[in-house]
Amino acid sequence: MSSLFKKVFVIVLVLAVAGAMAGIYYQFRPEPEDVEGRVAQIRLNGPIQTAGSPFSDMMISPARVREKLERAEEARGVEAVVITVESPGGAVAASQEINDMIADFELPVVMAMGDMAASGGYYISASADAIVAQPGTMTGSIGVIFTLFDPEELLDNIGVEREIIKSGEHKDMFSRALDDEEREKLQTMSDEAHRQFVEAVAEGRDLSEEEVRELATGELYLGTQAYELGMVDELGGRSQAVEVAGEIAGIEDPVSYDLPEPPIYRRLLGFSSRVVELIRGQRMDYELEILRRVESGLSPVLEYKVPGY
Amino acid sequence: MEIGLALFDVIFKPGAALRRISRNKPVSSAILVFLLVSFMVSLTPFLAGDMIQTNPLLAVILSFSASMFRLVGVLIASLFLFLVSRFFRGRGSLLGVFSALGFAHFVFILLPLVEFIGVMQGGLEFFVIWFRYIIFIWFALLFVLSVRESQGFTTLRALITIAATFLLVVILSGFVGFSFLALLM
Repeated sequence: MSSLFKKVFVIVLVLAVAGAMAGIYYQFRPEPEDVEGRVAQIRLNGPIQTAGSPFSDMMISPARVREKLERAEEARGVEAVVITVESPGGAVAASQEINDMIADFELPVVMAMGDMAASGGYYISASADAIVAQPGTMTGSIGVIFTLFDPEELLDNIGVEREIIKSGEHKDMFSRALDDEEREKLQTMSDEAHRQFVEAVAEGRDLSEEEVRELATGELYLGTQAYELGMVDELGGRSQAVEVAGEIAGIEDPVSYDLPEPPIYRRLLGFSSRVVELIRGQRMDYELEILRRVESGLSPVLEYKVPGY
Repeated sequence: MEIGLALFDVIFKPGAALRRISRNKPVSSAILVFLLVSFMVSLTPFLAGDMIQTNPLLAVILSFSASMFRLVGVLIASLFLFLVSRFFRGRGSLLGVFSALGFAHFVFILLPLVEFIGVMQGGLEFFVIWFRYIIFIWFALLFVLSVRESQGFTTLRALITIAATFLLVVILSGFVGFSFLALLM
């Protein structure tokens, strides 16, 4: 190994250490002595699902919501929380878990709705202390959807023959057309999930179940309509939500507080995964997108979700 | 003797490098390396504290003072190691041990890098803790090598010398401490 390389190596090492020290200096920001009246900002974006992807920020899972709420609770001087939600909904159980989490949270929680907080997105918002939506927010969609495809004809078209060996009368019900009895069973299941949705909204919003049932047609409402119907408390954006949170928490001069950024390695992982998503999105042509949707129909699941998202 | 080459070899070929250093006795280079590394390591905790914002000069003075005290500590440690190694028929010199120990401290330069990762990542504390342990173990190995190579010992004899020196320092400290207490009473 040449002596020049060795010298350069040592110089680079010393410079890297000096750079690291400068990084520590610039990264560290001393907290003021008396911090109070902070309203922590949390952002939830994407579909709701139980199993969260560790590499993407564009989904909402109970584990991720719990982590963010805990960070807000542990942060100094935080007396209330504003959650900005942007979601077309998603899995039933995950929505219910997040709804419970927000209901049980010690500090006042105000939901600030973005472009869309509908179906499961509204479900998780319902238990907050207040909801603030933009006049043009799409919300509501209180309903349940269960999408199924009968793959028989598709498989015939592409010339695939299949054989199903099953134990249990209805085990293959998602692999063929439903019979009347199965359709009725799934309808009962969907109705029950719908009833649970109505119950959660009624409880969270202090409305009667009758009132909610009238709204729970699965239709979307604009923010202004939702406000008139009592589904949201205020119209406005995040700063309005901070004001509302301040009122609820009894803070004289509420200060919006962004929680510290997640660790750098997680940000880098999130970014790297988004690059893959981006490339995949660019390369996915129309037929592949249709196929992806058909695939999701072949593994059906009950969802609080706006159809098409 | 080129400092850059010696430092590179301390990391990648420590045995041969420390043998060469203890023979050539580059005392001023060893002091320079030790002071630079010690200063950087001492200053690092201040960088993530309030003092560097409110009184940066004091932080620098404290870091430099700590480095100087450590330098005196290494000099005393070298003296004791030299004396004890004489007892075990060591062939090296005091300045040879001191130079080797000074250069062996170079591995501590990695500590600010580890602390930087700790400040930036926030969720991998175990990584930072383990890395700190690794650096200290690495230094401990270089410490043994410094004694071995500077005195022409085997590894076992170097370890016995270090243990005996440690014991001697503990006994002497206890003796001085008790004498001081007796004077006070």
